[in-house]
Amino acid sequence: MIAIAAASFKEALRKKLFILVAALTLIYLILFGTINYFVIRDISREGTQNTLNTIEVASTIVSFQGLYFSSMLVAFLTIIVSIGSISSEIESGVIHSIITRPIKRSSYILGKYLGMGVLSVSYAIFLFAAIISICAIFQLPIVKTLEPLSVMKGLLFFALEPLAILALSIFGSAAFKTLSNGIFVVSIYILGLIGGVMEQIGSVLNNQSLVSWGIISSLISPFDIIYRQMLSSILSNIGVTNPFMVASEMTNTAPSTWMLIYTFAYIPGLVILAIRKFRLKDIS
Amino acid sequence: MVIETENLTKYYGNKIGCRDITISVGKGEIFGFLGPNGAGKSTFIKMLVGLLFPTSGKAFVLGKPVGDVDVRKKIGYLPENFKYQDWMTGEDLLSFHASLYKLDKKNAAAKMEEVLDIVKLKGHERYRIGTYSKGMQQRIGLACALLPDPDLLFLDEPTSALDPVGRKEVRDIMTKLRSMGKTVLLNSHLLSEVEIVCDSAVIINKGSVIKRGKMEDILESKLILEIHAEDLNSEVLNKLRDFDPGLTYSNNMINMEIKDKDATHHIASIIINGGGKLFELSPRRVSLENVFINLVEGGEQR
Repeated sequence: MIAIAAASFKEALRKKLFILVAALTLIYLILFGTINYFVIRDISREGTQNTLNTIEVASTIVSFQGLYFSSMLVAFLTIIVSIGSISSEIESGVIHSIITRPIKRSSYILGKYLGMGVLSVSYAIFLFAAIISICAIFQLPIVKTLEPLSVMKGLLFFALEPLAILALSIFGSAAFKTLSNGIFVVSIYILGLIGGVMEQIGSVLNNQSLVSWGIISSLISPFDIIYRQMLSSILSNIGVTNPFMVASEMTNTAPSTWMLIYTFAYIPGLVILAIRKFRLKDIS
Repeated sequence: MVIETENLTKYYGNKIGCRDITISVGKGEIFGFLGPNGAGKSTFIKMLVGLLFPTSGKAFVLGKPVGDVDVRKKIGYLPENFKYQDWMTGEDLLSFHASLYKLDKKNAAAKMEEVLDIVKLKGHERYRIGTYSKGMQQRIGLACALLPDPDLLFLDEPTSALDPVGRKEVRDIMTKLRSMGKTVLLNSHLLSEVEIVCDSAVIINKGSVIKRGKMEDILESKLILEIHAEDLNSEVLNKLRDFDPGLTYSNNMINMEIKDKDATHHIASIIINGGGKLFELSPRRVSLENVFINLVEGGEQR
């Protein structure tokens, strides 16, 4: 299992797309730093520091420009390294000389999950640390109010999101061809984003059917749930904002405990499904 | 028995992969598995190495039912058109496979040296496999299969990408392994090669066995006799036709089939006693290719 994990980790690092992600990350962090710079400059010029408005602007920067986009980057990296993790090895025939060695098929799947999991979690931690550090360097007002413990809790959820996406993608890669899996995973990821917005709009408008649809889509795609939980962990003491805020009175709701438990079960559940799918798969 | 199968059958939906294949392969044998393209050879091997799951029938490898993971520590498998992670160097690939075989570090380093030596790739191990020639890629694949010092080696078309020198080297590796008591199952359509190296074989067509046995039984110990003789009269030719009614005679050359070697001197004396001048008489065995084509074409006509 460790051999598979190490090889998958190295392989993902060597993919050309990984360089693309690295370049995107760099550009993004520069842009994010620039936004911070101008916001801080304007705030200090206008002398409106510590007003409610400033805090709102600052928290939007952290949550939307910072964590929301970076969680998307993490999702993007996770998806591109994992959609073909199994299917492309089947399509190319590389797998023939791997799973005929003395390793269980379940170890093959777990090894893949472990290798790419380490990669995407490392990337998530790096990006999270970079965002918080940039905010700290520019002394964004909100940063001073952040509790170290809640930041750590937020980081845990931030790193959980790629693990959940990876579980879905590994399952898809064991079940489908690479291209189909790409469409499968991206559609489900987007479904989660839309579902999250539906649920929140529903709760603002008191429209139960919108909320129900939102919940159903979150069950299929709980990534937005994890994101919201992450955000509410970090910003709980100052009130959080949502990137898709459509009404000013609309606040980001932290997901229910049951939803969180479901999310934790989602990951092992999909990995087990992937193993079951792959255990008796004919590889010709 | 090192390999034993009983009515091993694989269907892909309604399509036959292979049907009712029953074979047994003893220790220290090189066993040929022959058949035209699409006959089901690879399907059969893939079931034995655990890539495909049989629809019905049984199969045992090194005494364990197929699919047993531990027994694979003693099995080497070189897939047809060996594919590899092209970002790896030869050394990366070998050490990856050594860890899949769960060799400990010290043992792995020694084995890697040894197999590189066997497949004659020493000095190339630090280059990326993507830069290797086709033959070198096939040989590094063979090196991976040899890493665990296997008791049983499955080779699926191992030499089709190799030049004549490379082929001979692979043949030599196979015979060396046999002399060490190892068993090799060779899947090939290069019949001359199979004929040289194999002890026994089966021929399959359209998923079923059409011929099996020791190599000499498959070749039916029939002999082809080529005779160069002059001044042959019809009486002599008629006597020769008693041995083979289908003999051909033109430009003082006779081509005929005889059942065993003993007939050779009878034929020589018939020619000489009948007044013919005998210049040359050479018996040779029927080639596997002839047997194979007859069997496969015979099967098609039926």
